[in-house]
Amino acid sequence: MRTLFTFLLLLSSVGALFAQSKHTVSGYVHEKGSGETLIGVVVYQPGTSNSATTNTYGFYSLTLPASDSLALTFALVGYMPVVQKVALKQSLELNIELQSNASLGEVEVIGNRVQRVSESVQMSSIDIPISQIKDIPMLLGEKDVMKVLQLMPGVQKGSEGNSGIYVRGGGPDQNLIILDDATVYNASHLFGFFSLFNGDALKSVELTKGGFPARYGGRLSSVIELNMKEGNKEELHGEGGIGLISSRLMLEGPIKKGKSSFLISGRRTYADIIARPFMNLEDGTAGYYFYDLNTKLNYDFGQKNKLYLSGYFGQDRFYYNEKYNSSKMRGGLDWGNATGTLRWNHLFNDKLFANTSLIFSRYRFKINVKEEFSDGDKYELQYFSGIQDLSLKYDVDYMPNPQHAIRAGFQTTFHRFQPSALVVKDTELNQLEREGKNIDGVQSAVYIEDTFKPMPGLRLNAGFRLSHFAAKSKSYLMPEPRLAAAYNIWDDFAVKASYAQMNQYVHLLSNTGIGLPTDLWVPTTDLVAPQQSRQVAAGFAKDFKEKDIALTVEGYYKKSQNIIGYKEGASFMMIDDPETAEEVKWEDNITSGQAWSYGAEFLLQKKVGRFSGWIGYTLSWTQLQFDSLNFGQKFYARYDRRHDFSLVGIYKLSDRVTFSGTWVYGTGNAITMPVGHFDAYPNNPSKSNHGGSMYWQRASDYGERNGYRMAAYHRMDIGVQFHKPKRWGERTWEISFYNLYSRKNPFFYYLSEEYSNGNHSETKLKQVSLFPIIPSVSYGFKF
Amino acid sequence: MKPTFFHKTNIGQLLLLLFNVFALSACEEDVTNIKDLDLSPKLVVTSFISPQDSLLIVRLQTTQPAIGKTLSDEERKVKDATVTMSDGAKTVALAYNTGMNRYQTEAGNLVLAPGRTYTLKVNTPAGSTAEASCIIPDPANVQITEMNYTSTRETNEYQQQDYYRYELNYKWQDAPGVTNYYHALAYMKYKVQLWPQTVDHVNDIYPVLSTGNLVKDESAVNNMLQSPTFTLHGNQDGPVPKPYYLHAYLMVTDRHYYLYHKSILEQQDIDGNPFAEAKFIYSNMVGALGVFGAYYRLEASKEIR
Repeated sequence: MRTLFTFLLLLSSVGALFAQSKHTVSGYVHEKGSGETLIGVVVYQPGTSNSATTNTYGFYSLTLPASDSLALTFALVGYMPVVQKVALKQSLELNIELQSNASLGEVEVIGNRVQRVSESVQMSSIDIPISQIKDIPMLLGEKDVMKVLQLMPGVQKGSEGNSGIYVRGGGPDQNLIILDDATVYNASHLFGFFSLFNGDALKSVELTKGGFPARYGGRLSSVIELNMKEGNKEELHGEGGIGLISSRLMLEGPIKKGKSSFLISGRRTYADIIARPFMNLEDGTAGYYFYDLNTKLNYDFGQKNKLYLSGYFGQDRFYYNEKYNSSKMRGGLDWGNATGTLRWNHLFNDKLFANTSLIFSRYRFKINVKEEFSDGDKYELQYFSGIQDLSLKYDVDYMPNPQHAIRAGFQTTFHRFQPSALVVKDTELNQLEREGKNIDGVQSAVYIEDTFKPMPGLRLNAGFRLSHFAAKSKSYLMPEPRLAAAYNIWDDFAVKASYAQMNQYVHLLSNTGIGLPTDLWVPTTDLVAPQQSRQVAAGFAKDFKEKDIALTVEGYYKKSQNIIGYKEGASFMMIDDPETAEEVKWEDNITSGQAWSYGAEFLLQKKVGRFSGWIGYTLSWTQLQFDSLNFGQKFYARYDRRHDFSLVGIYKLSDRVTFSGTWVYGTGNAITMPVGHFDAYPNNPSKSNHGGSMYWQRASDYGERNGYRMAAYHRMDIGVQFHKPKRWGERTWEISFYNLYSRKNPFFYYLSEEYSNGNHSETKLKQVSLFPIIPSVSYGFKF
Repeated sequence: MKPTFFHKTNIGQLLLLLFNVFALSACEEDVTNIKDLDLSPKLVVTSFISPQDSLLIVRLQTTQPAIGKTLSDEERKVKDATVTMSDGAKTVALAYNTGMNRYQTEAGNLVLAPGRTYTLKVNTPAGSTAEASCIIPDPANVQITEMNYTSTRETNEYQQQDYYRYELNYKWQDAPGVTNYYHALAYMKYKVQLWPQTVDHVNDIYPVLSTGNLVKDESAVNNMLQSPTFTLHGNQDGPVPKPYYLHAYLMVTDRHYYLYHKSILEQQDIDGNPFAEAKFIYSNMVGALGVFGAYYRLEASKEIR
């Protein structure tokens, strides 16, 4: 990497020598009033194809021919554009502030050249403004980034109310979720009904589902990159809300005005407090809550150096206390993530930007039970599982001229997997302590990518990533070529194509599909090969500039191999159950196979204006094949979804009133259902008169694996927000209805045995639906 | 250890409890009249053949649809089918035995020999046809080499009575160079006074492990395999009268026999576990569910005086 860096520095100097007539304008773009750096701001020279985009840290660099007077426009969705005239006789620093439309009360800004889909080489990518996320109605009024992503084509939800996502047929473990460079392993609270991410603390969300640039790796299906806000550098601000099940508060402000700032944001549910009267056990109590805490500190040392420290802490807790005549007991389940990122931005020169990140991430699941008997005996059980990472990441952005934007870097991560650990203390028995064998693994990658324009109208992003993983005396070295191309047939119409090869070295063992905390992260080992995928995508992008509407249509084909699944009959309890106190090799319970996903996606999106929203439609197929499942035959994945449709609309009636609504439709999940039962008649060669070594058994016939479709899912949510300026800021009342027409969407099915005169007479199929119409009201404030 | 929470429940139940608490708003409805699921009764054929058996037996039945009205035992019988078994050269028909609800013929009607292929064909009056073939395994170089047993008197402090526990396990030599499957069983035989005469009584000895008595030779160490330890608990009437006989029954099975039985046991293991993956029952029948499998039985016994 040092060699690469030297090479880029040298290239930068050589470029300067031979291009004396060109100069570089570079700098940072901030939000006016808060000093927050802005991502994805398009910096362009009107009338030319010269343009650049600010990176994750708000930095841009544009090298242009010398000029006495040059106009540069800075534009971003949701912000008033700025046109700045400069005399480019030498390289110069130009820091710009953009004013949010919201702060101006503007709702319609049309015709500015924001990042347009027809002008970007990137395809299969989705970014949603956080402000839009906050407008969309959600279950119980809890704003949820992941559930908004589920409304996009190519992204599907798992089951009712679940925030887990399935991208282009990939499982939930195939999504790399990154919060300020840190991997988040379990991105949901309470069986996935709520995601971890508190919108108040977020600056941006971007989902990439194909055509992955080389800087991304480690998962097969998607990358969800979330960036936290830095905190207002100018003045103290706050934002908060009181909802039916949780409350949240965010505070941000300067530590040293213009130089450093802080952000702290917290959320806690109080369902346990509200529900306590209904949850009283016979002689005890039980409860559940979760909380999130996001924090960020930053210090601006000047144009050259900036430092960021951010952290996330979240915990779910289920607890109970019980009293019996001869004993009392308490215990619970706890699970949660913690991440921490220290980032240092360094600007070597006006074309070479570098970021170094030191990253910590941990997910831990814990069970604890303590029981004390009146005679003094004690029993204690503790059980842990989890994963812990420590990473070093280094990235450089090199922008030699408007034709090239080069990125390169490396990342190395030390993983510590703890599949299970058990401690049992019993005063009557010998103490058992089985620290599960931790598995250590080191995952590394180097990459280089270049976004360049080889000829007018054509843009390419070519990259190469070399990934490496070592664990359990086995190592893998995998090349991952990447290519994305876009060609503008017309100014506002581009055809696009991409190819990406991905490898995944960490796997999630889960057979519930509902995001249980017991899902286990396990590494690639000598017995379990890395998951691999190859994806091609092709499509077109069209911008209707006058209306600020974008249309994208894409087709994709993804082939994955070495994907893992539980063997038939296996369950997390078999490898996770502390009752057995036996160490079971998880590798023995899994099987590997292949997957095929293909389909087409359609998205018509309007991000700005009085009326905004989108229409999304996906037609897709996902099939799996495992030698040891379904007798080796292909079968549809549980979340194979032939049709998936979403309609999202947000209408700002005035500064004070915003209406919003969504309607979703999806083909039902493919599930395995018993279709019949029969007497197994096992062989009984013994001489006894009363049966055999195996009793008579009833066996179930399941027909085909995932051969039954649940009923289609559809639902409408609506909401209205009433904003009112106050002396101290603004307050918002929101009233929303989840599942407006109370559709009984299936959550699961079960068979109910019916009896008549004491004899079994009939078996009925019962469908359980989770949420009927759920009204909610919440109060929000900003100051 | 005293009763604890984890004796009464487990993680799965704990999660279900938590889930149920959250899902208070859930409602359910009857969707029995679903249309896109084929619930029509299917033909099931089950047969295991062995050179040591005196009868060739084939059992036919239809499945009980998982959803809908319960069929009576009579409705699930398949009575007037044509059932034949063939070794390629000779074909025999099996007749329906009303009392036993099975199709059978004397084993002497078809020579069953190791290494030979047999084909079972079934045609039912309802128009179903089913067919499968199997090869009787060759037991050459497979031999039971060792039988170990113990009998123990146990005192039950609560009921103040003694019980007897008999344990047996055995080892056998696996044939090298070929993949073998085994089904290991054991039983005990002794004489009891059933007034006015003394008769042989046979007790099965149940395996300790649910699937431990289905053995594939990949677990062989130096070509030796071992059965699980079979345990028989006596009753309070006292020890089994001596002499008694412990019998090791080792079935050298074909792959179909092994996979079918294994899948049944594995399906039973996860019965009622909502978090487990569904286990499919193995079948080698074409046109029906069930299995046509073969085995060769080896036997060893020990007299305990």
